[in-house]
Amino acid sequence: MQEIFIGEYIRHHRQDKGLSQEKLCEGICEPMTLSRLENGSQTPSFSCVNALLQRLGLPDDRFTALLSQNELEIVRLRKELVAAISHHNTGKGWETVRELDRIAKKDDQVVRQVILRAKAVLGREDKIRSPEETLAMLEEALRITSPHFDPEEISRGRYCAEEIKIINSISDIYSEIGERKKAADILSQLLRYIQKQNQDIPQLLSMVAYNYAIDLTLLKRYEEAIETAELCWQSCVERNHYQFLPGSVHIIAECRYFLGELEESARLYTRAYYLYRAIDEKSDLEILTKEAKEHLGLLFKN
Amino acid sequence: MREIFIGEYIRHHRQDQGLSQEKLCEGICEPMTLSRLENGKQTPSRNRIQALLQRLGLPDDRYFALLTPYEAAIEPLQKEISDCLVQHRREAGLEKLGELEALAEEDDQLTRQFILFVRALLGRADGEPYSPSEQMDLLTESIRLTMPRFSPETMGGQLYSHMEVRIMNQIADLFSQCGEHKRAFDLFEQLMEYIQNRTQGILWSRGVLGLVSLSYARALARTARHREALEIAELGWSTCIRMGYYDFSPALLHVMAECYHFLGSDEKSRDLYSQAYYLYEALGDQYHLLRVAKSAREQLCLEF
Repeated sequence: MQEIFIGEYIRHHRQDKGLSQEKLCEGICEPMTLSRLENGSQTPSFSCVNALLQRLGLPDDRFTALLSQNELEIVRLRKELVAAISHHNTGKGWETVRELDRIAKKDDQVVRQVILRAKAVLGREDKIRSPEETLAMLEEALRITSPHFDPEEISRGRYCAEEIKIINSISDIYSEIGERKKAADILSQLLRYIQKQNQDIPQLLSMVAYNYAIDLTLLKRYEEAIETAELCWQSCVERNHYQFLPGSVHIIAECRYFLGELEESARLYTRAYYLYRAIDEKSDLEILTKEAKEHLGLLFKN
Repeated sequence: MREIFIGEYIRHHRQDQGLSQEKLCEGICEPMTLSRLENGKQTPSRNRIQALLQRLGLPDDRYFALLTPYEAAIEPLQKEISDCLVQHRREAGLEKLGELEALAEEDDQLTRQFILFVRALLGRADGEPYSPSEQMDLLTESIRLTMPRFSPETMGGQLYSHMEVRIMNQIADLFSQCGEHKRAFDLFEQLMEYIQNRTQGILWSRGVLGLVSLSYARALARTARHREALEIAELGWSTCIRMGYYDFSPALLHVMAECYHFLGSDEKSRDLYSQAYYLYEALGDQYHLLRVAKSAREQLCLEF
């Protein structure tokens, strides 16, 4: 791999924008320091490098500063892909996958894995593949980096974020084909793993807890489902990431209904309804509207 | 500055967790590659390093691994102070700010810039808030640490860090609160244009667009330009939601609710008030919850 050092990188973008060293670093560091940075003879503090990168309109973690143009583009496309999948925008998702596929190196198995999982998830969402085919694809994707993956021994493995997402997607499919106990078992192990690792990857804990709570609800284990959904809720608040916040409230509303606590259930359905609206989540909103009407005769607009 | 290299860092944590090289890198890279990484001879691609760090249960941005002890001490403090600002926890914020001031090195102007900015917002150490003109002085002093020739009229053509955008946003907000609406709008317009013109910027800006659109929309609403305020708030809200930056979403919904009320659409207003109210409730944010409830009561006789 060709490495671009931070100094080269900054110099390249600075010149590209027609800026002098003095203009770029004004107030942040001495032109001499910038010059040394660009020549690779000195690295100033990370807040200083951050500020320079931000002025250049570039990503400001030092990590990405070491990226080649190709990798930078991959980072951008992966971000777009996550957004497209979480908003059920499959059109945009396929387009992004094609683009990723085009620019990723053939031997970059980490990106190959991302592509394969995205294809599996998008294909299922668009109903162009059966659950069994999807499952096979997801397992293939997982084996790219984890050839010895053992679903019985999840808590003993070590996973990166993409692997956790694949295992989560696998459990989704099991749940879909009615193997709910299997799905719940996988997610319970995965959840324990994430909690034990204390990984600082924002959406993972809430995502896995959310899916686990859904399976527990389907298995009629309502008390546990509520506890898990509350864990998801708390994680969303702590990390300022609300993607699964409305969903966790929705699950608790449903469990309360099945536990016969109708008043509390109605109260929570109302909250979940407005929370879905607040983050512009349309497809789950539709499910909730239907469900609240069937269960409790509540009428919401879509 | 003592740098901790990524390879050393990974080796340290791998050994700490009793893992072999083979076990850690299985499927991600060859053991030889990991060995070279640990010895500093070669750096694999970002994706691979990220995957290795994630397997070790470590944060996966590389700069963490390059922190000096000084940086490692001030970074979490800055984050806590920012959280205190968002949640209006003034006393806790001032206490942390004192700790940060004691730590900050003389020639570290970026940390000093942050300190002055926070000071302007939180007030004096004894709890007295600053007057608007004192606030303006502090903000100006803060921004001039990195932009010596700053003036609110001539911000065009430059490049800014997130901190600089935040300070300018605050200056514009102060203009608006003091009734200097034209100066406020001029500055807000330039800021919005600056952020939007750099699509790359929106991707990496961590929701700066949400912050500026919120202040701008509030300033417009203050002068009864509700239609424009609504447009700006909706733009900020939808962009931030799409990119997964949620911090300013309840506040933006609150502004939108107010605007619809003043534009005569009480049904839409009620709907948005409910969204803002239940979002703050779910977040456990009592301070803002009460404020939303109060304006909903005053404007729509709506009780939660």
